[in-house]
Amino acid sequence: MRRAISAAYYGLFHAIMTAATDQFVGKKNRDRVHYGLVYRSVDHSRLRELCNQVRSRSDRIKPYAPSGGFDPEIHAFAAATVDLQEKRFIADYDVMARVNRSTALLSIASARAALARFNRADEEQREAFLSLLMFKPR
Amino acid sequence: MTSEKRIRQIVRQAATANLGSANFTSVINSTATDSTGHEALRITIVIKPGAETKIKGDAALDTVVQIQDRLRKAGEERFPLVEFATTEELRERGNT
Repeated sequence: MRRAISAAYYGLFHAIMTAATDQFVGKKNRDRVHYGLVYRSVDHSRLRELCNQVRSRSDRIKPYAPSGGFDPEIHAFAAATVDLQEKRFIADYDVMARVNRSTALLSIASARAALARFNRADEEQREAFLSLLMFKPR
Repeated sequence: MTSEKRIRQIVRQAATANLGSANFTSVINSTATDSTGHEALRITIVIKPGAETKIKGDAALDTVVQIQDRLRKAGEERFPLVEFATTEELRERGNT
């Protein structure tokens, strides 16, 4: 159960990092060393920070967000990512926590739905999110 | 900090709206600590036996999204750690 929850989060993380790196380095460059360098430049805390900014409609990201802000698809993705990151932390490190089958099954289903929502969002929405993920506003 | 009663109300509304009354049973709240060391809310959504395979991913996702959004709008700063458990699973871990 712990491995299932952990994998649900990591599936989301790697899918978003692949999308971001494809956008900025190019899908055709996946076998180049620079692809790996860019892919590995974002850690879990950066993803969490951006997702929390999206969830709270932070002013910090407003200048770089699409006009009208991020849509419900991206909001749902951000909410799911923070939720699954927390569940992953419990599953991987909290030896006292009781992890049950229902939470594991619904975490996997929720991760799949969140990724589908992200992929359904407009290109402008996805590009803005991925840009903010790779390039933190100063 | 939002009252226990208000938290339950928000969770119950989100769970009923998204999971359906055929799958949802009740809510259990407690406090916890999140991965950053801050106080968090542990919310256990109790579902009926077998519901864990009937509930769709979109319904589970919307439940989590609405709980996060509505608690934040209610002024709750603690992050809700939402988990699901059937009545059988709760019995196994001694929660009932």
